[in-house]
Amino acid sequence: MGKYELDVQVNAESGVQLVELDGPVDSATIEVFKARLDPVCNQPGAKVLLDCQQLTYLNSRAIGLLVTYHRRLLQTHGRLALCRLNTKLVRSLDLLQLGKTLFTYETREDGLESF
Amino acid sequence: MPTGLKFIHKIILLMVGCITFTGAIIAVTFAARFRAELIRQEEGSSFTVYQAAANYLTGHYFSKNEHFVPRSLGYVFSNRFLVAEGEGSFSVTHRPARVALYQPDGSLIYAYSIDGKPDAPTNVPPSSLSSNVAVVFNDPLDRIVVSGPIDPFGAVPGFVTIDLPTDIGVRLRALYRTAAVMLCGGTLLATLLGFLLTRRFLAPVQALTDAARRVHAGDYSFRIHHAANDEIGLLTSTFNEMVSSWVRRLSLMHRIQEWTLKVGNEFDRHRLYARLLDMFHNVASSQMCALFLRTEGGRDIDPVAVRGEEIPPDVTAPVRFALEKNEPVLMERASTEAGASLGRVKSMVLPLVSGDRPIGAVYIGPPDGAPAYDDEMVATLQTLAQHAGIAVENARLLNEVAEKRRIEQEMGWARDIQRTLLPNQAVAIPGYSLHGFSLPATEVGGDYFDYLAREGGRFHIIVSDVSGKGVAAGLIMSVLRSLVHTYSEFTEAPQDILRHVNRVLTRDLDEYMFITANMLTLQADTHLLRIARAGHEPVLIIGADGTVQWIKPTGTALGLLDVGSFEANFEIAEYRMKPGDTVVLYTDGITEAQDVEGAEYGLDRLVEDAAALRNLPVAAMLEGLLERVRRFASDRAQLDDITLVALRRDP
Repeated sequence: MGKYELDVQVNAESGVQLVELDGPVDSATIEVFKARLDPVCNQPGAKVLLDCQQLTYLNSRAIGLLVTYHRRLLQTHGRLALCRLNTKLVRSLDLLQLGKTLFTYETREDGLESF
Repeated sequence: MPTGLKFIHKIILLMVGCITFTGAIIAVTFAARFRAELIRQEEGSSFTVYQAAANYLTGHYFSKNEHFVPRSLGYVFSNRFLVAEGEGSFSVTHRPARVALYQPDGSLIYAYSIDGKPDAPTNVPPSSLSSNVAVVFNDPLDRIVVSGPIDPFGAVPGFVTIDLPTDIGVRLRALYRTAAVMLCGGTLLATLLGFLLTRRFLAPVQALTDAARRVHAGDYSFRIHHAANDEIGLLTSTFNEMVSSWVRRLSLMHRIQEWTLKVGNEFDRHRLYARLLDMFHNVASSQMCALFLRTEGGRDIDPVAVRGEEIPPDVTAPVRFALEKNEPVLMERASTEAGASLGRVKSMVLPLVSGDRPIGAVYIGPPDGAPAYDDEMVATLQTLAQHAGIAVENARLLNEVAEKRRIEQEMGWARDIQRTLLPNQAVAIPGYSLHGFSLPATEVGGDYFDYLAREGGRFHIIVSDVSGKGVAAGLIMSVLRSLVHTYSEFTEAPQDILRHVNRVLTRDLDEYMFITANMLTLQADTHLLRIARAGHEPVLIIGADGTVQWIKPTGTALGLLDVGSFEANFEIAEYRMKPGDTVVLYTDGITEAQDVEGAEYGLDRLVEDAAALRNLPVAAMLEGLLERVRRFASDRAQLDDITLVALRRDP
């Protein structure tokens, strides 16, 4: 059985806000997800890297939030990137044709270097 | 009530019994001693008579040449023996009633009887003639018989028996009668006096008993008057105080009962708060009182009602303390203040508790017209606070239930309305069979499917999924339906319809929300199927022979990106339907259905099951698919809305 709670760790690394997600983002944890990411992603010009290695599920509303953060950060010359996505998440993003819209990287190092 | 002797009567009877028994013992003892004394005296007297007779007979014997002369003896015993005559008619006599004189061989020498008829036996056995003097009383004690030798030394042969009358028996019987009469009289008198005196002395006790009976019967106004400064007086005043206290408590209890009934039947929260304060204000006769309740999150405390003056500013801290510790806070006045003995609590904060959890508190200010609250009132107000806590919690729960029912009812209406927005039966397409259904995970779903028949043998089929679930998704779904119906009226190509829809939704949709959709347009006569996909699951086509094709033209979700990005990456796919081809449209409620281990149903199972069921009519095929998905998910609740649509060209 998978994990039912979402842990969100935010650390600054080389001027990048590194956000590590552990658990699912579903209707039960979406508010935690939003509450932890809002202060990080709503900062104008912020550089944010989401490490999704431990992310087990991302529901459609969370995907909508990521697109919104992505759009806002681009407007303020910041940037949101995702790294270490699992195949299911990749498929979800592909279905929505977001693979070319969101910045995604296979490794954390690649993600950090992209800033 | 038990019947029988009263307790006091038992005491009296016991006392009289003791007195009577003691009296009887004394009387019998004295009577016995008196009888013994009388007998001793009579023995003495009879022995004297015997001695006198022996002396006379001895003298007579020797004076008559050692013979007894009956004639001479008869004269003496009849006229002279033991007779003393004084002046006038005075005489004292102790003459024997009978005298008998015997030879040592038992033969009668002489016999005398005062009535002249001696009846002594002429011979007696010599052995019966004792050499010692014997004094014998007969049974009724009216005679004494003294017998013995005439001369103890044997100088005079013979024995004498003297029979003397005596009144010992008579005197003793008279004594017994007198004693019995006195004993009975004394007993009777003691009984009477006992009754009279105890009746008098125990009248207050009887009054207490009667009073207790009247109080027991419900007459609480009854009081006893007994001014004496003794134990009974103390008992009486204690009884009166007890009844007064009882009446006071009873009255208070009735008032509490009335108030608890009033507040227990009030479920409107604001009216309940007002009534609770009325209750505390009225029972405590306080200058003011205020009700505090925890806010929804339980982090803060709000005053919800006030009665009387304004809330003093220094009340907040004790209210917080009472809620935190779940204990009453009694604010006392200084012991040096006047009337301190009447009670020291001048104001208080009492927690209102539901279960073990304090949900609020009531502040009761100083009493109006009294220096402080006594202990009884403090205890009463604490009891009321317990009732108040229950009433507040009940009202809250009832309001919650009512609110839940209202929401359920509204959700029910929303579900019914949404159901009318979905097709209740498939449109008829010549040469095709079509079926579909949608099962929301909650009352209202975000999935939408529809069939639209347009001119020229053109049919639109759409399956879509609004991000999220519930009412918000349901509202967006209804907006989507309106847009699709509107644009499909004057737009032929499915991609054009979705472009128009996206332009509106991108502008109006919440920035976190989006819609995925598959829109298919079938030209029935040419069997050409045009497919537009807006970020939705790919379209599955199962051929009559079980071959599988995925149709997934490029396209992102409606409302997700800006209009330019949406339209720049939007493609259309075409497929010409062959006989027996079945197009399966679905939402992620099917592919993401999870089993108890968290594994997803997935596309592979969908393909496998759809292919296995392809020969069934489309309705049965979809029911079979749903059944297999549910079997896969086992007992797990449906997590997401489920929509299935199947379009099949007749073989």
